[in-house]
Amino acid sequence: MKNKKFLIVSLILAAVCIVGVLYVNANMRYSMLASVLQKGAIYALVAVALNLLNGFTGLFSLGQAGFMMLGAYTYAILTIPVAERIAVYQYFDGGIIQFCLPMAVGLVLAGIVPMLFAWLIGKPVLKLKSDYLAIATLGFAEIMRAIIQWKNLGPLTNSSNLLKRFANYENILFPMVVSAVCIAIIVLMINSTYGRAFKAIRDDEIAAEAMGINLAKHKMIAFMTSAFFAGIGGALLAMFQSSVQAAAFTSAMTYEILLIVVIGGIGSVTGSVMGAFLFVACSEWWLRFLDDPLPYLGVQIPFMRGGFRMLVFSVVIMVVVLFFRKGIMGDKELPDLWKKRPKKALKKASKKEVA
Amino acid sequence: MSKNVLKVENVTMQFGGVVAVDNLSMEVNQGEIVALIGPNGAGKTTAFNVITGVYAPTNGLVSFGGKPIVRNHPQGKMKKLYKGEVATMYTAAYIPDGRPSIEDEEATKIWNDAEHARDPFVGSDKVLEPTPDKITKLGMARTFQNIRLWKSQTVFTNVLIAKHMRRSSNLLTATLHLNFKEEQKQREEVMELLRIVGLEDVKDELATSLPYGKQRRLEIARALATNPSLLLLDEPAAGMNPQETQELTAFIGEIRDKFNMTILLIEHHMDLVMDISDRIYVLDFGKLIAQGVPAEIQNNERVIDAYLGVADDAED
Repeated sequence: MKNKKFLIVSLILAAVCIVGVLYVNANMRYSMLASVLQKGAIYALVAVALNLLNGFTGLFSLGQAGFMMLGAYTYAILTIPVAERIAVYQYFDGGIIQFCLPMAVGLVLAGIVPMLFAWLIGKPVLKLKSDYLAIATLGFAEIMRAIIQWKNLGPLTNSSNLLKRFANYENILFPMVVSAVCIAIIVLMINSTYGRAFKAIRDDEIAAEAMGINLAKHKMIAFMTSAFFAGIGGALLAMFQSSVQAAAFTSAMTYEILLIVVIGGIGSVTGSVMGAFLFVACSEWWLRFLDDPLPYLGVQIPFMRGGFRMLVFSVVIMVVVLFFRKGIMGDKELPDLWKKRPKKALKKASKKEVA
Repeated sequence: MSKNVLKVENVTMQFGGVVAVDNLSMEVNQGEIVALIGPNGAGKTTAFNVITGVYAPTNGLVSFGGKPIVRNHPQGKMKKLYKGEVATMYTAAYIPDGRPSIEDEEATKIWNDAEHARDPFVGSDKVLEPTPDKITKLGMARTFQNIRLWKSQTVFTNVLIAKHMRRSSNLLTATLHLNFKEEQKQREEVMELLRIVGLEDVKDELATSLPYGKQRRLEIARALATNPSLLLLDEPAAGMNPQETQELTAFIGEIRDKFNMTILLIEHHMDLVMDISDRIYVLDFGKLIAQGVPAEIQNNERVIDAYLGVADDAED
């Protein structure tokens, strides 16, 4: 009964969202709102993928930007139309790849390639704990960035030049639907017996191993899944920007995503999604006026100039972290907020009776 | 004679120059409750950790259900540092005494068979160092001295996670929830288990919000959920008051009868140990100093000296 209600409400919400996005797509395709919706959806996917690792399996990884870059490059390299390659790879005689894959295949490969890399580096690296794992994965991401920009790889990666003119989407619903499907898959996984095993590893590795959970295997599954979806997120980001350059995938990008995860709540999928949209909206849109030196009501405010936005943004983040120690959602999910309430009320009532 | 479940043979665990367990040999038979006792730092928990695969022993052999599961000999630096006994017993260089002369074929064959029954890898350098999860999969489950429940999980999920190991689903079928029948069955089994251990009414509480005694029970329930044939309890009564200890004693007996379980336990509460154990092994400074039925142990001079103490002492 309750489940049915929940299902109907969520279906209605989803329909409203889709109609809204379609409206935005038709009437304000190049507005700030449209761009926040797209980038927010992409960051939401990447943040949930990182949360699967950091929040649910307890593996503190900082390689997310690296995997996104691998995904973005895989997608871009494989889907540039053959006719455009001479123009894109202008310094490398059109590059070595002379075929073009369909968009869907490119998108899936954009997940698989980072996943294979995750398998490769996961073998030695996943034995490390906490900070050491973070440093190792961060190092991996930086090394991959350097390798992709390497001149000798130019015919494949176009060295440090832009990759562009690859297959792209028309409707802004596309990145949102793709990331919604991916997030749904991650949620299904978290709610399965494997997700429970991940949480066991996070809570107590020794106990998990003693209860028959193969640590190496399960950590690898989480790491590879996270890399897969980070890669797809990277490909979507490439499409959103309609160009790719390795220089953009710095560790600062990983920190942004980590920030989203922490603000949303470590171990909360809905928290990460909300955090992603809030983060993107704040940093790109709502605080944009702070960078504007124009006078307000005839008064020229001295601080308001380019860059002031980021300062205010940092303060906002500090305030959020101070007041929400465990992030906006903690380790709860959005539907939990409604579910738990009646129970708590009941408990309180019964306690009062006892008293 | 009842079937041998666990057999520990010449196990030595040496950390650097410190010998924590020194040439320990012990057996646990089907349906028995066996206690491992000794003063603090005697190496009881280390022995447990060797048996369950947390540590690879420096030397020795552990067999479970007649099959060797852990086997090692001093390697690398340990070759020089090794202070224990029978250093070559589990290597290719093993020269056993008492081997009949080669001419006597029949005696040689019988002797060989006996050696192979004892250690199927006799005369080889074979090393077996499975991770704890592999050993648990064989049917050995343990609890911990300092409770290690999954603290963000409810009582119910704590037990349910232990069922993960016995799944038949793979990542794909589990993610797509095609394994709902198995999941349903697991949930029912967990409920049944919680009913038996008396935690049914608190199944939705956070594991760490339970009182201490119930957390201990939950840990045992979680271990039982892996369908073990041997249960290892590391100080199950630690920190319990006499009444809780009594309840626990009854509970352990109940488990043995209900699940037809074999139990190996470490414990300091002597009333519990003497009450419930079929046999007792006593460790001191890593060495086995006595073994036998409770009555024998209680009157053993060495055990009294090393551990139990004289009655007068206790009254002082």
